[in-house]
Amino acid sequence: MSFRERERSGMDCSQIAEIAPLYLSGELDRERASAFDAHLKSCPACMHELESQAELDARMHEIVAAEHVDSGRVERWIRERIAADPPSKVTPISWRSRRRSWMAAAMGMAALLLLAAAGYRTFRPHVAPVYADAARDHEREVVEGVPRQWLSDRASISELAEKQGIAASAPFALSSGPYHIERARLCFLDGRIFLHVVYSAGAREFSVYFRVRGSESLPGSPREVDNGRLVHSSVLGSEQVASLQTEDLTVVAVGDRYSGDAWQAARLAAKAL
Amino acid sequence: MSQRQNEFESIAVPHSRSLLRFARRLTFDLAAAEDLVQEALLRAWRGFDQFQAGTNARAWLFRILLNAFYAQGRKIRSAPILVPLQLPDRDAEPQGGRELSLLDSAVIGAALDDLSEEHRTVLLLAAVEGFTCRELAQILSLPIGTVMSRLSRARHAMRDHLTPSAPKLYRAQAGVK
Repeated sequence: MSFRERERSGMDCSQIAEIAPLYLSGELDRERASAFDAHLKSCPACMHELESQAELDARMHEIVAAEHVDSGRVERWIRERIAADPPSKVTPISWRSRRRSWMAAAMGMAALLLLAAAGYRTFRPHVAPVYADAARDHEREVVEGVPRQWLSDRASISELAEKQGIAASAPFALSSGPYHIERARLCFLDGRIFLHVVYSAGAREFSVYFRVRGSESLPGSPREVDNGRLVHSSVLGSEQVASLQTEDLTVVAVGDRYSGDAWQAARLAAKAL
Repeated sequence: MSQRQNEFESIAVPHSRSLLRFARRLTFDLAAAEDLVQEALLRAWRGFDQFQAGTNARAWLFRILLNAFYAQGRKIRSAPILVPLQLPDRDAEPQGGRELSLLDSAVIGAALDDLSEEHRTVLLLAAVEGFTCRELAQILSLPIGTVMSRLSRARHAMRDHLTPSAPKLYRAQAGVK
């Protein structure tokens, strides 16, 4: 029986709790709203809970919306900026000046490329591509929050893991203590598919990438942990990358370098996987 | 002033007050909040050519503001955070007849500030700014199921601050830890 069919035959308290946010925001369709209302009429506990939530929302709205904020300065500032900075402003320039600008830009670019090439040879960072890709992926997908399709329910994440040959329980083994599993999707790191799982730790989020272990070895400074497994770590800009290999898996964790989340997640993986 | 500037003025600027109110609750600091709203509005203006008329401008602006906040997040979050007002002792017995509706606004405001950033954000957007779960999913770039569970956790965290003796039955049913 599908979720919808169960709903039609009468909702239970757990279903009410699950879709209460949709009810409170008026997003339930008529059929589900009627089933929701029918349950509330017969269940004083759910009714009381919903009333409390609605009342608390109303009080928060009343209090915060009544706070005095003066946006006049911000509005004046943005009006001045948009007057001076049209979105598609094109500065008309003569062909001669355009040619001079082009030549200057080309010379500048050539100089920069030479400097960059020389600098890269001299100071080439020894960053493993998989780490660099993981840090970049985390920055883009989690820190910047580029819109993507994610899976968030346990069954879908388990199924996605199993399709990659990863034990369905592996991502959830790290969802303990302060860490909660939030969402998952597949991604490419260094040309290979990884299962990207995002966990939250309070307000912070960090990423753990899982893949069936191959013949690759992990770079970075190894530090032995409790059960003898080695956790490697590197710092890349503002991110910390920590990784380890179990008998079956390669695991790479990425988080804010100052939070310690990546290191803790890798240690947890070393113990739990 | 060009037609495009007029359009931006009429579509985006009217939301500056609610953006500032939200930003102040995010950053705990009025000056930082003003900087954040200015940055968000400037980003919106520079990307205004991509904005589709008739779509949800308010959700678009809040999404830009949150992206700007996360982009500068480490800097902003490292700023000193004001100590919230003293909350009622969690272990104390509730006072007789004291209901949520009678709670002092300062206590509710302080409890809101005391929530985690994740919970405060989703609660402010839903309860104060009135965004629906579907709009929240767009603003936060999250699946709607994640939004719903996060909102439930935030509401219960808020109630835990205010009414420590609230029944836990519903929390267990909602899967709230």
